[in-house]
Amino acid sequence: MMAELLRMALRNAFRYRRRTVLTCLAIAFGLGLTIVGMALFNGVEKTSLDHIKDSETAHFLVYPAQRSAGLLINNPAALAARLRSLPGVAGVECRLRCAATLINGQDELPVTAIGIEAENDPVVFRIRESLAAGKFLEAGERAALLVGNGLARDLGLSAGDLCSLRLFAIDDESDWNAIDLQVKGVFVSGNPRLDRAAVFLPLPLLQESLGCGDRAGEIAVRMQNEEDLEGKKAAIQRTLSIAGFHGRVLGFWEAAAGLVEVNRLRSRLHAIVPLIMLLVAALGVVNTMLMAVMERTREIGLLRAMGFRQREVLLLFVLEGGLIGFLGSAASCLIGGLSGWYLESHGIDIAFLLGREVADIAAAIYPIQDVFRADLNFGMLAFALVFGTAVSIACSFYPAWRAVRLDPVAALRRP
Amino acid sequence: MPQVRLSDVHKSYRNGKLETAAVAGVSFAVEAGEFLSIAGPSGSGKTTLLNLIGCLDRPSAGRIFLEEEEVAAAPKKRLADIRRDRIGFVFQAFNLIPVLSARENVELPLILAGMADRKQRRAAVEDLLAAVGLADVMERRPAQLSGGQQQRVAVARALVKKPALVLADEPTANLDSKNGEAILALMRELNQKLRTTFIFSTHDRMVMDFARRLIRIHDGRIVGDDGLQP
Repeated sequence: MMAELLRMALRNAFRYRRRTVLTCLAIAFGLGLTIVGMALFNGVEKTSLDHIKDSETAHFLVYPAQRSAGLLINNPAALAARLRSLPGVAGVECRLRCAATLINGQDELPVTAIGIEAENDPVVFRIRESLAAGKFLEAGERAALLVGNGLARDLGLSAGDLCSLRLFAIDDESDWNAIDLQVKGVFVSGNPRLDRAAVFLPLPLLQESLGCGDRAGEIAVRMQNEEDLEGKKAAIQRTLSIAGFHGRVLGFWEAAAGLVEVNRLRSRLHAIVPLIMLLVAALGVVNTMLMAVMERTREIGLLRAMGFRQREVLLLFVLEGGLIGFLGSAASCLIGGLSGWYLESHGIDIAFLLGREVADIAAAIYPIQDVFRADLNFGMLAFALVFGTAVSIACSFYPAWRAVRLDPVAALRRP
Repeated sequence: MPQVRLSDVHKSYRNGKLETAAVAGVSFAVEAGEFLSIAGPSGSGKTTLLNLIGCLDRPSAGRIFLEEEEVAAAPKKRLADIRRDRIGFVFQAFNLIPVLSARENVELPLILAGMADRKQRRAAVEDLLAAVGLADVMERRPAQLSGGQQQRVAVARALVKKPALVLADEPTANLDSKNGEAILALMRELNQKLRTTFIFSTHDRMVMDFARRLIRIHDGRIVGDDGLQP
């Protein structure tokens, strides 16, 4: 019986083809946009986390807990060695950062100067992989620096050019200084905080220039995998305590917590538009099914005369509405899936689409430069399929209930 | 035991303050295997009477028995079961389901009746459609059939589950005389072959001539009941 009802529902759904197609299209575009929106916000979140992890914090960033205890870590190499011996650790790097200005001889721009260990950095971060020109720093190298492509563009610098870096003291114990350097490479990390306002130079050079000995500002830890990160964080914390260092351990997801929260709030707000479209589509389903009941009143009377029970008539119409919803939702998966796939592989250039100002504002909020990529997953498509079908089924109940309530005699009398 | 028995059945409809009596105190009994026509002018209450016998409607007063089961006060679900299992309907306007083929239309009552064996179901349907002369067009949808063919499908649909009773409401009204006569001949043949009781309403003289018993109705009352015709 169920198979027969399904067959009738399917044929009835395509009885008024144009109406069904229009209703399906409304569902498809409403839900398709929802999928694209979800994929984009998901992509923004994922890209932000990746950028923070790959260029700012690694999996964990260890730093002094209290300003009163000093801003720098004493004997960071010993701590790094202890952390390196922990299971699951892929790499550890000591870093030092300070405020600076980069001067090309005519103009100067404020930057963050970051001292890195050239031999450890490629294991912990992805700066070397993001080099667009020139070469990466080498261990023991002096007077060389890496510049972000935005900064290089603003100051007209390219690999091989000479420039000066004015360094500001980090604390009372460190010095101000100015050093001459040669641009060894230009990187494009995709993180505007780095690409537009950061330079990398050898850690020993920065330590020496600031007069802070072998002290570092932070220790970045990269794990081999991302399983049980909370447990790994606790292990790092224990190791540091045993070593007598009472600093903080920050997971990359914690560093991005505020940003993720803002992103999720935005995604909910932005979901209103496609949800309104979906509501319109749902009303379309109600309308389509009400019209079907009106047009098929006599047929309903016939079915009742033949012995169809009320719940079978109800099921017939609910199945019909559900099928329309399913087809519309499947089409939305196609639209959303293809759009999401395109936005995942090519991204959307908001500077091109919405202008440089908007892109700069976005770059101030998210660590993403211009191109926003979607992150589509199967769950979103499954959600759209189930949600669209469920909404359509729910919307079909009222028209189906009206069909059930029809008096068979009166229904058979209808022209 | 009569197959159908009506005892002082009344049915009235209220339209605002106006109450119209469609059936006013009708009593009669129908034995199994009868080929009976209820005749009368338009508005005389023929269709209402068929609806009451067919468990599509409930009387305002009086009692209706189908095989001695009183159905006048039965719950809706029970009435649906009776219609499903024991009654076949043929309507003036054919009333086939447009999205189903002739074969599927005839098969539907068997599915409703719970016949699970698809092969057996198909065989029964195809035999019956062949018997009503539609073997060549059984995969066509109603819109692709002539009026006469559609009514043959409707008759096959009414008979496929071998019901005890077939109710036909002016079954020839939408057909030309040739097709009308053919349908009546078919119904009478099936009545004789299967011993199925046929009750049909009409105001057509030719149809009345086919009946073996004729109940005349006027203003909701029986004004004549002619027994078996030769």
